[in-house]
Amino acid sequence: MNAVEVKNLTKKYKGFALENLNLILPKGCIMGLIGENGAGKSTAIKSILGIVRPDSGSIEIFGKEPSAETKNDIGVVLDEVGLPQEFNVKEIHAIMKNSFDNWQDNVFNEYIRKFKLPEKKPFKSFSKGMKMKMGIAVALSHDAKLLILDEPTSGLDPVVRDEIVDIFNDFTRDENHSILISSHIVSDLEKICDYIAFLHNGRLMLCEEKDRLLEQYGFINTTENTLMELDKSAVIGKKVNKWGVEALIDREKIPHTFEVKPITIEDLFVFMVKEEK
Amino acid sequence: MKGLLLKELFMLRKSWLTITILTVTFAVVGIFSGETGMLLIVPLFMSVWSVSFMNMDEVSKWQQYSLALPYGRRKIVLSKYLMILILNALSIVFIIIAYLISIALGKNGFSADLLLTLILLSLIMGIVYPSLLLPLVYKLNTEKGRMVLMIINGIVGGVSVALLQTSSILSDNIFKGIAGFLPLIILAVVAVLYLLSWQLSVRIYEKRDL
Repeated sequence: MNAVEVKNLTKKYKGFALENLNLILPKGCIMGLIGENGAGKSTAIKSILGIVRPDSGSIEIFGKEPSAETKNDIGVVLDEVGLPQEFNVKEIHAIMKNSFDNWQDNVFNEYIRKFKLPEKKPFKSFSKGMKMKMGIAVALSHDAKLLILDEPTSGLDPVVRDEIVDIFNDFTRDENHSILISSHIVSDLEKICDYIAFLHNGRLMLCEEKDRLLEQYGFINTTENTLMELDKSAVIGKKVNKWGVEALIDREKIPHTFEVKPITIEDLFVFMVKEEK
Repeated sequence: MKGLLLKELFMLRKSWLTITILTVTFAVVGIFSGETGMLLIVPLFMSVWSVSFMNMDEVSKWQQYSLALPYGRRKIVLSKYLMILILNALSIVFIIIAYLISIALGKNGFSADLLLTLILLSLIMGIVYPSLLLPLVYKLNTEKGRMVLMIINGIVGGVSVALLQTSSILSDNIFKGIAGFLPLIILAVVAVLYLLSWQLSVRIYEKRDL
């Protein structure tokens, strides 16, 4: 049973459309949903959570159509968190404790202590990082099996981002736990994701195991003439500089004589998007 | 649904000072002037306050986040309607106590008809207004629906003033109307209106993108 299955999801707005999105998040895995601003990441996540109504397509969570009860097993952090601004930690604790079937007081209190969140100050007085930590504390305190995170590290400084990414890594030590995380900060996702899905202009460009992508693609430095002799489908993108051409290539489609340098997922994404443009 | 109701109560608690000052002020004016109709401001005020919280929910993105909780859109709407009923019940208790205080202070003589009329009008003002307003707020959200809300507020305000000024007269007539069944008929109409409003709000909210 997969944690999340999305089939042919389509959602249209004026001036933008998320079209025929197909995603499978296997149980026990972390999938990163990568895309530039406006690519459709939040639309995809909000469709999965039922915050927006898709125009067509199907969504299954843990093998079933999502219902209100399913949310007991899902921990959610949205890009603007969404907790009531006027409430403090104690009040939010009371609301959540009386909402989730498997609420864990001790786990929540431990996160509040660990994140050093003030218990009596209103949520609106928290910094962006503190708000995100509060959202994460709630998401991790009801024995969730699946985390769905929409830009959870956006706007945070590198130290806090690193701290939060480590927490997500810990979450997946349990092989029954899965994460679907969206971000335009590719380097954060590269640290923890098993699968990478690239979204661009509402379309899924690719969805693949991260390690497979890193094995499959690489950089070569060569000349324009040499590049033109290669199979066109081997070249994902190129950057011309005064020394020649730096090209992102599919290793399996070029001769083994080339010296291929490793890439990062961020490199792959940037080159694919630029080539698409 | 306990979590959702707690959230509504906490919102109310945040405004306790303003609510207390306003309700006590109107109660005191109503008691000491003998104009018991002034007490009807309280249920109207409580329902207006409860609807105004929805604007705060939109600003904080709670409307989106609440769908990540194990409730569903139906229960989220139901919690708002239940909260308004709870506030109405509290308003009625408040009115009864204020009326009895006015009698104790010699500002009014006891009239069962007047008391029952006050309770009936309290239900009308505390329930009809949100019945009209909530489906619009769910459809348009508070920002887009501002003009429509102002028109409805104006109508309700005008009707409320008329009811305030005629509550004593109404009490003489309501319980005699249609062989004494008029209060029950009014209650039934108000109840049906509230149920229809709830169902309409659920249908609107279930289809809406947030």
